[in-house]
Amino acid sequence: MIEVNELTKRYGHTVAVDALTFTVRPGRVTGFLGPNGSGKSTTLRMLLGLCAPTSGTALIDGRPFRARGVALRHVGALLSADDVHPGRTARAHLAALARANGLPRGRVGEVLRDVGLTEVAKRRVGTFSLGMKQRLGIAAALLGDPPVLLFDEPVNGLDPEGVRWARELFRGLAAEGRTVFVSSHLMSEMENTADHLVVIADGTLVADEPLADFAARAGGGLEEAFMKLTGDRVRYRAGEVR
Amino acid sequence: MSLVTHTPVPRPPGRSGTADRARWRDLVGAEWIKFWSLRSTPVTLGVLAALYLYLAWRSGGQEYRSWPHYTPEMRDGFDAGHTAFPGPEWFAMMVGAGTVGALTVAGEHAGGLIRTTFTAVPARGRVVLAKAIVLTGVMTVLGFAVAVGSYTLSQAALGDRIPHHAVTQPDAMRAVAATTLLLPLCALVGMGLAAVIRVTAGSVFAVCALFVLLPPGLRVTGRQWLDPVVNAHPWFAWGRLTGTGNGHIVGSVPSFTAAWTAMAAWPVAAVAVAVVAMRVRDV
Repeated sequence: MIEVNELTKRYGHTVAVDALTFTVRPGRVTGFLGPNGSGKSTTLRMLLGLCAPTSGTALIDGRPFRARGVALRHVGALLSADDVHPGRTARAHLAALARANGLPRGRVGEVLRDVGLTEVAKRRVGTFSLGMKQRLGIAAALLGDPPVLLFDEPVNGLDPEGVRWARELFRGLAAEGRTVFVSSHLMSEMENTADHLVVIADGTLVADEPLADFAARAGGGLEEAFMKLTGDRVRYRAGEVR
Repeated sequence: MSLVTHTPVPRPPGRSGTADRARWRDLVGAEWIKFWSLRSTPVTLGVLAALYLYLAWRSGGQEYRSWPHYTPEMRDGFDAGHTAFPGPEWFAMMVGAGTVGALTVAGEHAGGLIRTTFTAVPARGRVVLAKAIVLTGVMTVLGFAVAVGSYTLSQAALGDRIPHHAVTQPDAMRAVAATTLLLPLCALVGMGLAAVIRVTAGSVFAVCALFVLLPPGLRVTGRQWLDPVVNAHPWFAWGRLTGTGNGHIVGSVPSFTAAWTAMAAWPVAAVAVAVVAMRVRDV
């Protein structure tokens, strides 16, 4: 369970996240939607203790993330496929993470197999395509077999088969009773993956409701509803000077 | 690339209880894996070691060839320590060791690996200390090997023309000990600089500036009041400790105690800076 309460992050005069409050429950896939620059990634970083909130709290299973010494058994996360060292092999990258968390060595081989990277485990990550790096990031998130999983744009760069695989993976993880929180810009993909949605724009909450309810708001599906509800609060739009 | 359908992940044993405490053994093990899994690291360390063994041999050989031309005073002032560890040539070693240290942190910031690291281990201070432990261990072993090897080779190059100065002499052992310590010192200072600067190029430049550009810039005639500060610079402190001669010291030099103190203070301060910088800043 993820509990975000009055979470705020300011950078100088810019408010990236503004008094955000929502809860992500276990047993279902919760989609995290919002236009570019709406504060999704900042929210996820605050949840993971990577940046400090200006005010408010972010709790995972009742504890602030940084209250834990090691975390992979509790929380698995993929923030960006590029959060790796290009000079290391996939196996070495995962081996170091597993070792730091006191996980059995065998887990590295298991997650590599789970994401389909066994054959390239000894290749340096710098030679990987974006899709392969996404798979490696998902493998890292699965290492500790955690009850809570966070994914930021996990299907970017995946081939169609990979997108379907990821969808089934997320749904399967949720079906096992885990908390699964997935951000994405791909409305059609979200429609197929998520049960529940948290939608933000300009750092504030727009919706926290079942996907079906949200999609029904505009009468024309998820994409229509998203455009209608966030359209006037998009920070970066092509062909426009603000 | 073959695709594998996801199978349920088996729960690892012993996942309940107090398993979320970061254990030193595991953190050091992880940093050990990270340190050696970059191809450039062993190559850099190997090249540095080989280069300095060669330089010591060459330095001894130069003394051998020059000896017949030395006056009695010059022969009396022969310095076995500075022959084995010629100061100006060691700037590059300091930069090399400092860069290896800087890359352990800057390399994590370059791509964003630092976020993966801290997502797996929220206890940031312990991650930094584990890095420091690995760096200290590896660089101390390398430093000892290079120090003993350099001294021995430079002595061997003296042939039968110049009186030898056994490595077991107290001042020779002091030179070897100081050189052993110089490598981890430089690596940890590099790590501390990178923890503050984060960017690879900036960190390496800072290492060069601190170790190479600063010493000649500091030692300026007419600024003798600056001597205590200058003498605390690693290169001057180490230079003092590696001297085994008995003649012509020009200008201010630190006492041995002051030099040892400086050599101990640098790495401690660097690690403290690294821990604080990495703990408090957003990544």
